[in-house]
Amino acid sequence: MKVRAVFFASLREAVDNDVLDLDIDDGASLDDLRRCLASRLDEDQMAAIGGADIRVAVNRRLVHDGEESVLSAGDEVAFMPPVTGG
Amino acid sequence: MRVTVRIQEQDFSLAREWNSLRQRIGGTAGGIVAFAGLVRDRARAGEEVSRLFLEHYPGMTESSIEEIIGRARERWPLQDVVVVHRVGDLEPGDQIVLVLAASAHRGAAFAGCEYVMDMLKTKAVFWKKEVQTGSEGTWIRSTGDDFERAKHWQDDR
Repeated sequence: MKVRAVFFASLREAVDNDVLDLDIDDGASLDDLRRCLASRLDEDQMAAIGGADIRVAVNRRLVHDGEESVLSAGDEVAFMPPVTGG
Repeated sequence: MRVTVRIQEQDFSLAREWNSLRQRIGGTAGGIVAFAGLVRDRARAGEEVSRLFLEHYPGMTESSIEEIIGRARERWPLQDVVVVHRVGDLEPGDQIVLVLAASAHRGAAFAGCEYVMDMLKTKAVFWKKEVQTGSEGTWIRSTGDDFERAKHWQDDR
């Protein structure tokens, strides 16, 4: 199935892409998506998106620590560094 | 309660937002509190800032702000809240954010406006890059002061 990974701010620069379209197995989890990304990105890039302060959202909803996330076709998975507005 | 959240590249007019809010509330509110944030020409550490770049996540940014306003509404009887937040390239002195809060009494309007602004700093989905002349720029984070201000609303409850 096709899913989309999107990257913001410092991660967009680290990955050198704002969007990566990926083809992963049906029923794949967030961890499976990370494994798929590891085949496209280098070690430094994987370290950047896997940082302790990086938050992940699936279809614009935050995934909480330890939450299991099974993906569906067409899902958009966002990798987000710490936010600041105002 | 009426809620308006807009993310835009173009500048906003305080007078225009203020007047349309006044029309909406008619004689029902006792006051409006407004806060406008501007781009400072110095970073926290004192370096000169020549440009600020703001990035957002369309859809998620708006809902993060609506959630903040929803929390404010649980605490204070707010009648109308407006948040206009700019994105893209900004220069020192530019307007970056506008918060308007209307309520029957000033206490709620002051508190509601300050709460929304404090939470925008730590919870709203934006990323900011400070660019100095001749540099690639630095992605900035909420400061300790921002987190303290956000936290005092929790302690306050």
